[in-house]
Amino acid sequence: MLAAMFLRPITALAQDPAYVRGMAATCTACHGAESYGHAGIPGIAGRDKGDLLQQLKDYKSGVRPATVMQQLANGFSVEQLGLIAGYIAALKPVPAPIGR
Amino acid sequence: MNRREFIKRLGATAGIGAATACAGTSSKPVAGRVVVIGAGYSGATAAKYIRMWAPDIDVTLIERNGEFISCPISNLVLGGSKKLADITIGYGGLGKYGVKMVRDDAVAVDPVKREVRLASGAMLGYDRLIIAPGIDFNYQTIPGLNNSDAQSRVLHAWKAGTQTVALRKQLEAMRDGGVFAIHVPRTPYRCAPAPYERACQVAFYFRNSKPKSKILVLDTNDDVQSKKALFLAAWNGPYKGIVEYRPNSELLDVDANTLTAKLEFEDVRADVLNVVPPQKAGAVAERAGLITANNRWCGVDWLTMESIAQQGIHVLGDATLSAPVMPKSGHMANQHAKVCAAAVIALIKSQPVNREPVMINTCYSFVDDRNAGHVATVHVYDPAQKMMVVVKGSGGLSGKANELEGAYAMSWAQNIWADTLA
Repeated sequence: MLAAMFLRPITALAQDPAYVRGMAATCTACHGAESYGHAGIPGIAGRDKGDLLQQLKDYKSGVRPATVMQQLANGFSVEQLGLIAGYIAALKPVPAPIGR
Repeated sequence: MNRREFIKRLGATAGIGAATACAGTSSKPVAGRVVVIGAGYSGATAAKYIRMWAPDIDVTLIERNGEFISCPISNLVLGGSKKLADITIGYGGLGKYGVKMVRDDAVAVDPVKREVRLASGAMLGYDRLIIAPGIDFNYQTIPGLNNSDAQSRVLHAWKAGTQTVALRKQLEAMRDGGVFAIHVPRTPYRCAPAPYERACQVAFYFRNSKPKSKILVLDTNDDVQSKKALFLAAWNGPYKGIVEYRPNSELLDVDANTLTAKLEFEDVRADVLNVVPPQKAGAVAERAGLITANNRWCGVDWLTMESIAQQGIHVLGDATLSAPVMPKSGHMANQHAKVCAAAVIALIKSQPVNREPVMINTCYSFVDDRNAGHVATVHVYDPAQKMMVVVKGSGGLSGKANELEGAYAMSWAQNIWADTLA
């Protein structure tokens, strides 16, 4: 059933900004407010879409070794990763002060 | 405008009906009013994200504490490598999003009139209420701990703050050669790996400062509940001879005077006794009529995080009846908040709610001051079960704690604090 969910075309959902925004918002807990990260876990906001997507695909395929990212990339289809990469690439990498 | 005037103004606008909601200070029309109770990992994130994604929605965030103190990383305060100040963050950063912060206690909720009453007496009206109450403790099953004097001797330290510091002081005052015992309640409880991480942190302290001392992990459950391989590697490795794990150790009672945990088949006396009591949704959830499962947790519609018991009220974080394999973690609370924020905006604006929410969890545990490991999962909505389920093939665990993940874990903390509060 889960496989079926991911086989479903996401063309219509891709047009839904709330769907894409929500998926991209899963990243910011680790990658920082508005994806402007701190120290070891890098900021990703405003990076090139193609580079972001290639990295995510490499995590998913296992080409690029990782601690967490492969396990998370495996939870998304390549189409979904493309939508996330597009959303994050379009963000302005504005420096945000850390909370304290 | 000082705090008193601010609350007065809130009180003055609270009687206005939903259809004519008014922000009080802004000349722009307000699409709706949201009140959030509780500014922890989920409540503060929800408040911030609603304002970030929909600046025309008025958001008031009610919190009884003056500062955010993080439960994640708080075990390192017990281990001695962090101070409480390192995990304490002010709420000032939420101001730039236009979140109206009110330091008060929500004492009652009227789901019909859609009003929240505060301890100060102010009434706040809402179109949508978000309750993120965290956990409260159920001492009824531990008669000897069901009074404040006993609770001041046998600490929980399961809400980061004064109890964290007090438990650290108990450990510092303990003689070398003493026994620290921690009792773990039956799952589910806040942060499944945290009792075992705590055992590691105290072992780290003992190994360096009180090497003759021992740690007993008295677990109600029949096995380590999370990151088993990682913790066993620590207990059988650097902490061999320090940490002893005893499963199936149901707690019948506590003698707070002698610091004795009364188990089914034995009494265990400790020099420092730390009982993590059984837990339930924070008290305001009960007062709002949101408890739907085992007299403890709040069932929600996972598309919106709206209560299944009360229309117009959403519940977030540890207080929810967790979906299968969904931990009660700060990271999960953050993800609840974002799904809820998007849904609340859609509901207020009569837009369609996203039918395919995604949540991820990444949860680190430290075994000492620099080595950590993780557990990760990706959760999606399954319309057939109306439930969040783990995506097959996603997620995983570290086999062994390591320095790289220790660095990531510290970075994770900084970043999620910023995502929540900055």
